[in-house]
Amino acid sequence: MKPAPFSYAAPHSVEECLDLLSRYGTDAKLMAGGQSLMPLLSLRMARPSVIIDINRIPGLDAWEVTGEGVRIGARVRQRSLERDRALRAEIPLMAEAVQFIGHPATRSRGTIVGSMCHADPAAELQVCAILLGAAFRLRSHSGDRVVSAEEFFLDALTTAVGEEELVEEVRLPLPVVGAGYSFSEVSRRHGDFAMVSVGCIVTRDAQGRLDESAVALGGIGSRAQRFRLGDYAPGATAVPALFADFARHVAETIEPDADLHASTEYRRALAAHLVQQGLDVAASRTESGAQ
Amino acid sequence: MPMPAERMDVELSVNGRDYTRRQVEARRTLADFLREDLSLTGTHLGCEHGACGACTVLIDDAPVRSCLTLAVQANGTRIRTVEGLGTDGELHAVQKAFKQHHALQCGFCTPGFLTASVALLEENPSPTELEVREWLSGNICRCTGYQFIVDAVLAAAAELRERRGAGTGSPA
Repeated sequence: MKPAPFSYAAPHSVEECLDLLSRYGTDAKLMAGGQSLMPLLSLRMARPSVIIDINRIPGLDAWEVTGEGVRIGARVRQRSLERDRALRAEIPLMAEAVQFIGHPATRSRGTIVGSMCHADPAAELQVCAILLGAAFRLRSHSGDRVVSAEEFFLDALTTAVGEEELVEEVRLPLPVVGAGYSFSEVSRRHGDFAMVSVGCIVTRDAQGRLDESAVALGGIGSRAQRFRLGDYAPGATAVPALFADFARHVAETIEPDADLHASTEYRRALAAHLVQQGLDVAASRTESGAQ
Repeated sequence: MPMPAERMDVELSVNGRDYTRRQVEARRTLADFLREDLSLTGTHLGCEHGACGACTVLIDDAPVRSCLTLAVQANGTRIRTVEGLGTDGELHAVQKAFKQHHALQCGFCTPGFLTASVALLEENPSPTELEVREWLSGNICRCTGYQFIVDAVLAAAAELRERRGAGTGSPA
């Protein structure tokens, strides 16, 4: 249980990091918190010849609010979502989700962007990114680009990030005014990988329509999936059974894998339950407070 | 651009003692560095891949799994291990409470529980039972069970609050 030998460099600027990536990209692995990468190294499931540690790059540990939303640097720890009240207020969905991510001792090292880059299909932060419509800023010597969450998460443990690219930050839209958010999941033990996790937003337009309300589910396949209420029931306003019907629809649409922890049928049942419950909770948190 | 290297020097403080220019292999985990290079074997290694929590230490007061951190990443930090919790032959209040409440049998997981518990009480002096349970959910004990451990942490929290109250003259 020891990592195979590798060379290590800790660049002091984004430029230095991009230099290293362009030189060693194919053989290198970036490390931020290392809470997913270190087990892979110790189990020797990953054997990169170079580790590029971004923990000494100034600036990447900051977050800020701009007109477009919240920008979170690649080094911002998951613990910030628990301890930084200002950050929690900007992303209430992720503030609620963070309690389900691992444990205090992993959250104090693990980063928000790093978890998203690892792209575990059961990861809470991927669900948040997909639900909120996050975007990622990627840097490399070949050019910078911004990639939407839908294009970023390709498959289990696979993202659109190129071998010479650094994910500098994730951008999240500001909370929708008047909307309610919720996050919940079921796992075998607190902090374990979710069998199913669900993020919800309930929001109404000026006419009271719920079209832009949506849910995203994790743990149900190779990546998180988003379902918009308006695609299922366009123009719906307040129908007593709407959330239950939508939850059933979502559960029937997904095709979750079966594994040691949960069968396909059980995951569908969890999805139906969590979606309905999550929407009810989110609705109770909207400005009007009612479904 | 810093050139990647397989070995490098680190400087860090462990339990108040400064270590300078210690050469380590880049792949060396902080846990192995503490145990093998500094002979601080109080930090235990259970699973070596971040599942059990036995190797928890405090880096700049934050609890981390030392098996999931490289020694080179701890360069320039201040580390506390189980050896550094007590002072001058006196056990830390959390250690005393573990003893009083029979919160250990074989003791293998105990260093991780102690460091994690100290971190909790430094951040939150009055945790609820649920908060203690959630905080310690990252630490696995296979023989004592968790009830006595939770009892001990709550008792230590009360003891520390009382001491602080007595120290400042305000009610506990």
